[in-house]
Amino acid sequence: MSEPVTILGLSALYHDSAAALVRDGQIVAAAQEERFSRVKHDRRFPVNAINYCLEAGMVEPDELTAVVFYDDPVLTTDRIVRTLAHSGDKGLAQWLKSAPGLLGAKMRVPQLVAAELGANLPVLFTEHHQSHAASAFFPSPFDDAAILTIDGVGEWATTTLGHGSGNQLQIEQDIHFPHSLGLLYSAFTVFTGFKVNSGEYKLMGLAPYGQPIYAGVIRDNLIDIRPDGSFRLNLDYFGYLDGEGMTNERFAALFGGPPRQAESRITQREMDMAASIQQVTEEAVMAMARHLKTRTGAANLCMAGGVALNCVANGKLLASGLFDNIWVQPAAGDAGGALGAALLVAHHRHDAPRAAAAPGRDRQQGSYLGPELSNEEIAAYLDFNDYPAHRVTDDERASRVAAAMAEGKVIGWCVGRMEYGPRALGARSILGDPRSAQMQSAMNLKIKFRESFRPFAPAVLRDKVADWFEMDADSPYMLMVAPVRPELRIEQSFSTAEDLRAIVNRPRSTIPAVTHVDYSARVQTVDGVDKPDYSDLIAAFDALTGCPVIVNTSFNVRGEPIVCTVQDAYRCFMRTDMDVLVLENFVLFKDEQPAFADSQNWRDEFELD
Amino acid sequence: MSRNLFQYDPVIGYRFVPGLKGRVRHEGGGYLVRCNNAGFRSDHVFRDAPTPGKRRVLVFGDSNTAGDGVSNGKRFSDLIEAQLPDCEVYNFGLPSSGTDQQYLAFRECAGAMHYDLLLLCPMVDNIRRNLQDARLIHSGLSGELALLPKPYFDLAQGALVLRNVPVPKGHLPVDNAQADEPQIGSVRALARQAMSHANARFPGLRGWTQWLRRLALPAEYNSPNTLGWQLMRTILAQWIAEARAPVILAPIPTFEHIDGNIRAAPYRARFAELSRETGAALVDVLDGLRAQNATRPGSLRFPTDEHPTVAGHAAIAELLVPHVARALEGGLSNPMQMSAE
Repeated sequence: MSEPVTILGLSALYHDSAAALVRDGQIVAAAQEERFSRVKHDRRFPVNAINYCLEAGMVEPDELTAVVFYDDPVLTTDRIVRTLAHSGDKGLAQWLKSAPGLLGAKMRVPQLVAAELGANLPVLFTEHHQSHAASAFFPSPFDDAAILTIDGVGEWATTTLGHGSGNQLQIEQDIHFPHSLGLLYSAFTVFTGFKVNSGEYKLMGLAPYGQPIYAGVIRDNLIDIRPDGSFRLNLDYFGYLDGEGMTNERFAALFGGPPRQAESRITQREMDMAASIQQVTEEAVMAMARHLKTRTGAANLCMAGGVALNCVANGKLLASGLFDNIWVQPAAGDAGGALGAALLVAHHRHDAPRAAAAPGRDRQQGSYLGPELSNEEIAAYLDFNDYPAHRVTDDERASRVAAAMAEGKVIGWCVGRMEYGPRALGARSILGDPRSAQMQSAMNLKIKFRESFRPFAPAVLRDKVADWFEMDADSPYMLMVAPVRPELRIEQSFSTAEDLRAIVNRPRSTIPAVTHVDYSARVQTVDGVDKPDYSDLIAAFDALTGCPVIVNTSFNVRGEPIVCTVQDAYRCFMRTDMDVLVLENFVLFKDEQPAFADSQNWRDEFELD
Repeated sequence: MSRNLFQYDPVIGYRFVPGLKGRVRHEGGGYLVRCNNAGFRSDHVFRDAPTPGKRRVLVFGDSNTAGDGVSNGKRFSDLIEAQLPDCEVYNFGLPSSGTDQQYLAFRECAGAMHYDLLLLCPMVDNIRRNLQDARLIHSGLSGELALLPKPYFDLAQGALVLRNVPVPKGHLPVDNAQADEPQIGSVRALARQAMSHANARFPGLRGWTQWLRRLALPAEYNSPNTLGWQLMRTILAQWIAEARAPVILAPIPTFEHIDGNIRAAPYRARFAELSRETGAALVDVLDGLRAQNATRPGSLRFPTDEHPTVAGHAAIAELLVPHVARALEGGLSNPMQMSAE
């Protein structure tokens, strides 16, 4: 019997560090470093994520066939140096910012691996967008698919079009830096007062409050989208080549004034800018998808890269019917590069067959690829600290928690393997009743400690999704947006002069906590295959209330990485107004817990996102 | 991931979380930890009844026995088992424990168990732990220094009296003065306190604190009449007396002993006396380890961590295997000191 091909994939030293382990083409484990280090978007070498992956596989370092890094530092340096040469003196600031990372740790990846694992292993490098493409295609349900990757920038590529078949994929076309749809979206994110790499989601959520009045301005001045889907940016309006910011004064002049300051009041201008860039982004994505369809003739589409997290665009692409099926890698950002790189090496270099998949199901295992807690570990923690808890069976857990939700209680739910990717999918989630008009506001202000204009996402039983949303497809990763069914809506209108908060707090449907101002919802479909505990809970809630939908938001407070360990979960539970905490088969009630000794300034631990 | 490896035990103080599978980051590249349902780091399910066709060895000790720094299969206990096909080795090693806790683990968890040989591997340094009612540890996930309460024995007219049981739950603040502090002497107490603070604030100064620690190394072995030795001797003697099978006593020297930085004669003399007194066979691995260390300098321990490397465990196993084999063949009828070279 031959030795298994075991590949450790790493993404690090740019945005979201992560590690992934693949054995004989099958995903064993994957996790982001931030969950362990408790530093949001941690970009450091992912020592803890590596440790977890080897733990999950019970793999010794010397059993690894290879370690693979998700991009090519030499090519990235080439891009930076050429950009500097092109920009002259004005590019110096950018160079000084980039050089330490490029010439530092990124050039020493093999040494970092050797130091961490105590072994001299083969260390390989892929290209950034190859990693994204592999993360999109190989775990997908498809044997054959077109592949579209779009992000800010990798080495040179910002967008790639490819094709996958069997255990092979090919990148066929690409668009190079500085022309980048991801950077265009990020420029608007920064200009409207949000943070790059975390605020894009907020900008997308803001869009329905605005009118796309600037879409023409954007098309006329900032981006030229061609019939084949390719595009070019007008760099006269951006600062990322030769300045210190994403945009410059010409950009500001185009939109009637300086950028919004972070945390200041959001005005109608920002809402309209959000609506406008969202519309243009959707047009660009649609144009590229159309070209890709023509080029490949594929029935299926796979997507990855940060822009693939734009679930509104994804939903419209799905609704267009251009492709029969769309699958988006749930860890679409750089963290997913770790998985893609590992899969690429397993399949391309070692010819590993793709993992078996049941008909219609993907190979991502629900993205529940992170660590899980055992009841014994939880019991040890609770016992050591004398925290009161009730041990329940799986059935009792579902019925008791469903009853608590129906009473308006907010639940911290920490069950099963942690999610890989930015979204909580029912393993590290805060849950509640979507029928409650107060739920969105209560969860935002008392639990997440944010004033958000974004509604929460609904988790709905797969076999009932069409009864509640205008959609009848799988969306297990919350990466598709669909409208709430018309008969469930509460008709309303709002004027552009209204305060955002007033609009947010107005019920829009019979499930107001998960219905956006435009009646859309970021749907997660749940079935009993990948996540039976979660499915059972929603079914129990449905049996009790007639509503197979629950509110799902990530188990954290603003700026905090999603909880990972039992300590993280208990601490977050006690710091917030959650009522019930579920840790596997233990249920804890807030009113039974002893006073929690904590720092008065604990919120300072987390930088606001 | 950074997992809590231990659960509270009201008598022993703690044991491993039952069924735990984890990996610990470490300067040696990290190591895998697998625990059984009894809460010990072993790949065996511990059974009371004998296993047909196998002779059973129970091994007790601290982190050197539990295998801090190396994966389960690379520990000396597992290597002994691998080299003696008819033998199964149950590892009861408990990191950071004193001989008192190791004895309590035997009483609590092996009382009804069948075994053919007891292999007691106290780390020489454990003698000081027996004098403490709490151990300075790095707390599971936070890594912060904390004091963890532990059981301990007092001597009353030469008899052991168990104290601090049930062991209090939770951590004590590091600054808490320990009740037994006067017993270990003010100079050593100060040295230990300085070392703890230095390690906490300046982890990079571990080398310096090790040097400082040398000043505080056990004086308890210098005479058979010190409180520390009286306590250790009594615990081990009672343990050996309760054993229902032959016993091998194999004290594990510190690397300061192996490197020849401090005198080993006092501890060797005390364990030889104990062997004669109790009838337990003494296997002295020091000379053998020194010889191997001379051949492969620095290979037996990690550069910073003081635990044995894979090579260190292999060396210990190599030294113990002949004696374990002989003991299992009934060769311990005339116990005497056995030098393992």
